[in-house]
Amino acid sequence: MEAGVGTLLRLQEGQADVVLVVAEPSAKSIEVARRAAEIAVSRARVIVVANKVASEADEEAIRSALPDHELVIVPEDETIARADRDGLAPIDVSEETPGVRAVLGLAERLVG
Amino acid sequence: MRIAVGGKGGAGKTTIAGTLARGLARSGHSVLALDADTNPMLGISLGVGPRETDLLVAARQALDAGEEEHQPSTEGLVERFGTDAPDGVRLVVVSRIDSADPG
Amino acid sequence: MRIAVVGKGGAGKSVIAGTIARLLARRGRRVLALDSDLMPGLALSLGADAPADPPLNDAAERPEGGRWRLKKGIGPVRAVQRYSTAAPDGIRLLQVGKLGGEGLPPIMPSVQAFYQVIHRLSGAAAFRNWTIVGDLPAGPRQTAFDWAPYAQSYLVVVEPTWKSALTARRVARIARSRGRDVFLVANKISGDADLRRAEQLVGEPIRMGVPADEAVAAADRLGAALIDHAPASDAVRAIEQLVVDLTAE
Repeated sequence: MEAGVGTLLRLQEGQADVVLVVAEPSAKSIEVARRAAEIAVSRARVIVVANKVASEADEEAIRSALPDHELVIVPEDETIARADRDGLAPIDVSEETPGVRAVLGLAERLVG
Repeated sequence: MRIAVGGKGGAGKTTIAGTLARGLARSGHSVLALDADTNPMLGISLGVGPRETDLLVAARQALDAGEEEHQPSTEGLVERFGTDAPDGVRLVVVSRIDSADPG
Repeated sequence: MRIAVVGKGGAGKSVIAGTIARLLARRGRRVLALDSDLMPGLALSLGADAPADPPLNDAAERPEGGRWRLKKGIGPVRAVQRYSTAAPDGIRLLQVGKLGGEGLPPIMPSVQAFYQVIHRLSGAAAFRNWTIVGDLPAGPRQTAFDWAPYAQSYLVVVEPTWKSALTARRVARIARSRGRDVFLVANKISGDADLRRAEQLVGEPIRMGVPADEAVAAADRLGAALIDHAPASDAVRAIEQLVVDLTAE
């Protein structure tokens, strides 16, 4: 299920097994993620996905703001950005590009 | 397993949700992708294309506006307002922008 | 001038709205900035402090079994006087509360107060000469539900991507169906080809493009207002040109 924060609020306990809270390395995105995680934590297992991470500083900025949560890193990936721009699914452009590999790794982690 | 994806707009939730769905489907799982965002775009990240994504949203909106015959059952909803994405993923747009709350 | 800034999440609405507000204020306008997003954003883009508790929470009440209403003696003028936040360059920022772990209930009075205040702004003589810049949350929802009744025009921010373009089309359609003037500003544009691509995707002319600019990403990382962090950047220059154009009308 893909949802903005508003829909996370409407999630009843037991409706989701996992909530992925996606954050990119900007102050606003991290603040929203912090709040989204706060909302979600009473409803499901929360995993923070640090997305478009371009440096250790980026990773650290997200990790330090959300220290109590499981964290998965998805690196910044121009192939994904281009796919998105062109209206394509990233996985159709490349399964091997680092960003897609990270998400596929997350998939394994969730069901594995 | 039911996975929900949230976060600030632009962070990449739709791209990640779509890629996750395709990845899980490729590993053999049966995947239903529900787009509950008030600005539905999941179809694009799933690979159904912008045109089909937009058409699906329009159909959903028509249902809300009462122009379409009401489909009460979940199966009906999936059947009528779902579309097939690659790797066997089934996409349904469930969002409604017809509620006035600020969310 | 009364504008509402809309568009897909991440397109740059708050940065553009905040920078426009700062530039207008520096040109001598009295500016009221409005933030109807339940998640933080505009305050950072303006360079304003974010209050811990939503000031507008004190402005509304709901009597037993009744409807939400502004408290006695509180109308749009007093609401802005008492409950707006000071932002740089003399801007006043009126904002709804922000969601946290407890959800909507703790901030509901501020949401109700905000909605009622903005619907009374156009009729308030005291604000006749004020410039209003509203920043709406991502997507078409608030446009559809009249969260910018004060707006004469909708500034739709669009990136050169399919998702952003589809959003821009949706929002523009809704705003125009309500008789509002709509104009498009492209953001994160790398050259003329990019701007043309954005126009192609959206299917209509775009008024101007704001260039992709590392300074914006840097300001975003820091949580600083772009105009404070990089006042001479290409992005600020472009937004300045937009403000010149808008004020010339």
